[in-house]
Amino acid sequence: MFPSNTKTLVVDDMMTMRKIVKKCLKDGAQIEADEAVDGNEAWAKIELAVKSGQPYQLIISDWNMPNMLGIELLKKVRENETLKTIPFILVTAESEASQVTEGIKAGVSSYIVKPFSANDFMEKLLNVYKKTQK
Amino acid sequence: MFIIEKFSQVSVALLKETMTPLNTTALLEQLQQEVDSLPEGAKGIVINFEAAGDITSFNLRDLSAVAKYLKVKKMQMMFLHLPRSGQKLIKECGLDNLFQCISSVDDIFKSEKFVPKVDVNFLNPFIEGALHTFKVQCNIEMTTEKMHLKGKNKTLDIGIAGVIGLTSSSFNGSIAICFPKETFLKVMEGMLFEKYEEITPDLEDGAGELLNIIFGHAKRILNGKNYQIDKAIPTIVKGKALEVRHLTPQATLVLPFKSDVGPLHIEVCIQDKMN
Repeated sequence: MFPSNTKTLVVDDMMTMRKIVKKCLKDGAQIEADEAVDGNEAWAKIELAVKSGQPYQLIISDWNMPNMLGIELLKKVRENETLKTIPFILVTAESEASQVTEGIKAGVSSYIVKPFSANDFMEKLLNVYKKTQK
Repeated sequence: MFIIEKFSQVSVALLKETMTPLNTTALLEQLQQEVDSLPEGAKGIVINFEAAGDITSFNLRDLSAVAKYLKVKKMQMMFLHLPRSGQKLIKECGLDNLFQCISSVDDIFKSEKFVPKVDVNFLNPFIEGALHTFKVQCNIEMTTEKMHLKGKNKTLDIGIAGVIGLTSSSFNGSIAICFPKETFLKVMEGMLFEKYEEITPDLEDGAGELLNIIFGHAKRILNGKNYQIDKAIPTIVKGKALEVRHLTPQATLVLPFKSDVGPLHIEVCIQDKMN
């Protein structure tokens, strides 16, 4: 599993969902995550973290957000040489085939489809972690 | 004889003069043509007596053939602005099932007699989505109760509601999830593992998020059946004794749920688009 000092960013415009994801990370992996309310704020924090020499090591983002969609944030991250291999998980209420395809093409590490239990979340997180170890 | 005004589910025929033996045949022919042009699933025909005065038992006898034909097609003949004497005559003749008197065209969509076509293929994904979402995300088991039309006489306790507009190429509508305040606070406790005393602005998100998840579930299933529903973003309303008013004139269906943390319900209002 991701170690407890994994620098993690949770991105969601809804407070309730940020709270749920952060609680899953804390309870399941002892990770204290940072948070952002949309893609723009997330990108600003990501850039700052790179400049400070402590880039994020895991990003978990909602898909549908104002200002910048999660998929657009993902594409920005993947286009950046320093950031392109960061594990990036998209959380979404919609899992239609077209959306899944778009995410895969953009380089998503995994999807979490709402609603999800804490066990569902940790299982996905573990799978993503295992991929990073290969 | 008639000036016909067509709507998506009903034709309104303004009768320009009183029915007499001289004009009845032409009138009935025109009515019959109008009935034959009604689309499947239409409510029926409204005869507007505003300009024509009253009705006699002979008129009722003449109109009954068309009214019975409408019944066979699962439609209704309705009378608008019929004087009280005419309404009394209909009752005395025992014909109030064949001829319905209304005070406005809006009554057609509010009347319990006109239950909107309940497409269970459309509603079930929302019901399943709600049951699944509350179980997984909030640790709350719910059961469904009997769905009913939203009417003036039913008081629904709503402290907070999330509303999403539904659009597709073939229909418009809206869906709302509605909670009494106490139920919502307990739902949020189940979702966030913290007790809450009041609905704060941050907590209001929760209603929108739940509706988002239910809508996402239903949309995935319905678009797999070619309903072609577009994406939408929920809005939240909060207050005391709220009423959610849906903008389409169709009747609203209420889907009630019961749980250990209290009741809640979903409201669905759908209107087919006119071609």
